[in-house]
Amino acid sequence: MTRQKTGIVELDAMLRGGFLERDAVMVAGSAGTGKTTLSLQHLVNGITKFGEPGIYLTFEQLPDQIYRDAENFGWDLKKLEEQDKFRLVCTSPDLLLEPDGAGQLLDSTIKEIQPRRMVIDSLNHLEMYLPRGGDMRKEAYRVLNYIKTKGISPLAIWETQQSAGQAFSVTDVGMSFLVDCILLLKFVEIDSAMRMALVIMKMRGSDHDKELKEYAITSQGFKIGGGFSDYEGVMSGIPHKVASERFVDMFQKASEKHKGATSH
Amino acid sequence: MLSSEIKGDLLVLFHKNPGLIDSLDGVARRIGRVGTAIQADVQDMVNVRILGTRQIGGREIIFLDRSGDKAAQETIIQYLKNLRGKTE
Repeated sequence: MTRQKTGIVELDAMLRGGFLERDAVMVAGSAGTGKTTLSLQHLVNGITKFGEPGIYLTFEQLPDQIYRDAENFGWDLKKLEEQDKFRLVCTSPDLLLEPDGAGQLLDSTIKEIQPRRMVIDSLNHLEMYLPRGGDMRKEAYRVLNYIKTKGISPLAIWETQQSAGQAFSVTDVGMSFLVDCILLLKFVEIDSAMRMALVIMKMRGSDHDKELKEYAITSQGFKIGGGFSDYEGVMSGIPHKVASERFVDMFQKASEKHKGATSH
Repeated sequence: MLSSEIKGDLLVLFHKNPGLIDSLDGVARRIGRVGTAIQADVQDMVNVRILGTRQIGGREIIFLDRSGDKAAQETIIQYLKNLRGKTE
């Protein structure tokens, strides 16, 4: 099995070496969880570390904002475009939904740079422009298959709603069967602070890490840390310490209180 | 070439976002206008090959004609050089 590395070492380890080539991947998460950053990092690493050109297809966010945001992480997208290794394509989703819209919009770009990776930002926008009575799953399936048949691995972004205490279910949107791999990014509240957790919810045809991992968005992009082994219920968004950790906490507090009392 | 404010806005939009490929209405929306308001200016820019057009599903889409735009820029540079030469 050929693996497509993301170039984020810890994530590749979680994926047992990377995404399976030509698998459709979904990066799901609520606003601000870093979906765009992760997707861009996957593309930029593909070009700079593995020699795989890429396309970033955006519907609403104008390219100049994406160039600027990428620059903050040290990724010079314009330079990669000049080298014909990257293209940032911006269009309206309704054009992509036209019969042969994908081909008309992307064929010439695909011929120009021979990409191996493509990001679609986002499936939500595609859904927003779907004509009344249109079947989102059918349209998304068509677009993803167009990309796959060109020998490109698609990565689609899906913005989810997140409310405290509610576990996210990709099946809510009825599209989980369309993709081969789902990465979920999530805010979790721990000790009155917002922390971010990543989990691989699904990976067809491959073993993968099932543990929730904490991550941070640094000046170099995604940095994935350890798990939340001291907590339970992280997926619900309202985690609590496991019983043994609660005992340790109580013991420490009691011990500090005792020390305070004896020192007076 | 820049005979109207709309042309200026279109030029800035496409230069900042060279990967933009959109319908007339889509492009217009991105500069806060409606399709009918920019139609004539778009056509002028297509005529001088700064913008290109193509059909998708019976709709005309607009994009930056990279080679035409580059040629137009070179013509302007040459013109300015000649102008400077004359005044010196």
